[in-house]
Amino acid sequence: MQGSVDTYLQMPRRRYFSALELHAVGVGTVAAIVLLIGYGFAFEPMQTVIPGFPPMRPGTAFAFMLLSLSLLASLRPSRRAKLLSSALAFAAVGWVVNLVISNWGAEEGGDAMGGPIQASLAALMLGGVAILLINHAPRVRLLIAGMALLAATPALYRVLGLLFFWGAPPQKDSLLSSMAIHTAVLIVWFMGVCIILHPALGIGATIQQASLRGRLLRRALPFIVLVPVLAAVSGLVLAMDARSSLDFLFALNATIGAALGAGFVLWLSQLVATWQLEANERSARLSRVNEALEQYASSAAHDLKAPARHVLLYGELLEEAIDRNDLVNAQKYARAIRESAHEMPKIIDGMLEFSTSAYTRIKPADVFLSELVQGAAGQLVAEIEKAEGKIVLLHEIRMRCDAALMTTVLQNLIANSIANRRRDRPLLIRIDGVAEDARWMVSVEDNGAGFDPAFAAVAFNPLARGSKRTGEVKGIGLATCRTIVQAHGGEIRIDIGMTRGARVEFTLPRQDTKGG
Amino acid sequence: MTKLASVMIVDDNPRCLEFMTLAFSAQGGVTVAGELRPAIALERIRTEKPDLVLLDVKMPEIDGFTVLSVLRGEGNPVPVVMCSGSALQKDVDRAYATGCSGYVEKPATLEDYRALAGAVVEYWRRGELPNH
Repeated sequence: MQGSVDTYLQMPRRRYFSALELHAVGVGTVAAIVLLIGYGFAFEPMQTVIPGFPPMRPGTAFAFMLLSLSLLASLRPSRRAKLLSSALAFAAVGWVVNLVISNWGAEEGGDAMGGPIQASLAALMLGGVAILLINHAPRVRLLIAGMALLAATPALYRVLGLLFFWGAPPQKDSLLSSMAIHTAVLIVWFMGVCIILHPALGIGATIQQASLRGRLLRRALPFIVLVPVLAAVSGLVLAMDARSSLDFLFALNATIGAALGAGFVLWLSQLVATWQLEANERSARLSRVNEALEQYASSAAHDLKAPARHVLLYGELLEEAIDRNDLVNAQKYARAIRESAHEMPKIIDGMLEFSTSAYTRIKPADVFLSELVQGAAGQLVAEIEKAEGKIVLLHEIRMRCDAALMTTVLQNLIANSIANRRRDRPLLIRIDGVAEDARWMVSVEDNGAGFDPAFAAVAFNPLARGSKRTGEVKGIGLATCRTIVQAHGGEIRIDIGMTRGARVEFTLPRQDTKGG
Repeated sequence: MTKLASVMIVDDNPRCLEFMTLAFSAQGGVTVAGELRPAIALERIRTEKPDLVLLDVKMPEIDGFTVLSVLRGEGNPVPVVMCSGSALQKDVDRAYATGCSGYVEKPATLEDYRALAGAVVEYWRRGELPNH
């Protein structure tokens, strides 16, 4: 069965990468402030945040610092950083185990103030294990995300309880009753953001995608957050009133869940309807373009065959005339040969003009490069799968162009890369977008057979075909790309300096759009 | 037995017209008339009533299909052989559906041109092409 295009597509993540680093630093810094100022200088407000609330224990703060550093290292691409990250995560887990053991001892002595409570310890332990798994087994991403949610949910409940109910109803036997407000916030922050959105899991990247899937997930997010928050708040409100029954709580939560679910489905259906409209529009546009192309190809065949045939025929007539010693006619036929041959470039120019006219009616819109790449790759899933290829979009840009036509350009370029791949290594196509002051530049680079410099000079001519790289690709693909790019007022070129693979880049002018 | 007396060749390309004219003239006993402009050709077919029309498919302004359908629309039964530089199946199907008597791809050698003209005239002599 054919896989989803997402399997072969890697979307840009740098911006969100660095943002995640900031989150990790944020968690670590809060923990460090609590440890250094709160306990180092015995500054009590740092320990409790709100007077009367339970304090964050120094052991917890230290574990958070370890986890934060470990996560920072795990975001680096190098192997050494990964090992450092795992060592720190392992240290964090070891530290938590040590705290658990000392907690037991303390409980026997009747004083548990020195160590964190079990819920915090469990969350910290899960955090350490999650980072270890991220580093060494990112495939089990659902398990990792599940662990993060498991750790974050009780802490979220605690945060809501403390914030909305000023200390929350006192329940001495609760596992959460002595969790500090900032401990709870740090757990939610670390688990909900740093772990779940970690790029190794791909969940964050999927949510950020400009595709339908990404849009759908983004729409789902408020509901995913709202359902447990409302359930927790209603639970806490009812827990304060001893008379309210469990049945009522259940009914209330079910109603909230059902109402939000219905709202979500409605919202979702609107999204799908919009998407369907866009898809229809795009497909109609593509089929118009294809029709023009078909007409162009047929016209090219017909028009170019005629003068070629005439040269052949007059050649024969010339031979016959020479055989007869009929010099008058021989001269006439020779002139006709020259004239027929002379017609060919004119016909080629005319054809080019014709094909350009097929694209002159461009419909500009603001689109994300990732959307175009997604659309183009979506048309070629089977081929990419067969080639065991991977497409990486390095940077996201937002540009103004005709989405259907620009998808055709990318589709042609990706198809070229697939057809001209090298069999001795997996195909890697790197697409990049740069927003410059006056123009957008998009490049498509592969690690394939590369361009023959002689072909590169004529590659954009619609009749230059067959001589390229492996010879599998028809030149009309690149000619189409040039036609479309030119219709946008841009330029396309082959980077002939590229020796390892092929690189085609095109620019589109930025007129009066804010884009980028 | 009917003798083929007159052929009208309609082609916007003067060279194609020349080859076809040469080929049919070489058959002997055939009057060949050539026309570059399809609109004038329609008028000439109506007035000169040729025995056979050789009609190019791709022409500016009025293409061969249109000329043929106008003729058939008027109830003109003159045998029409369509000639084209490329014989795309959809064009061939369309030509027969419009009512042509034959469809040939323009030959690429003199020999083929002669063979084409010879075959048409020969069939005509045997009475295998309809006459009006």
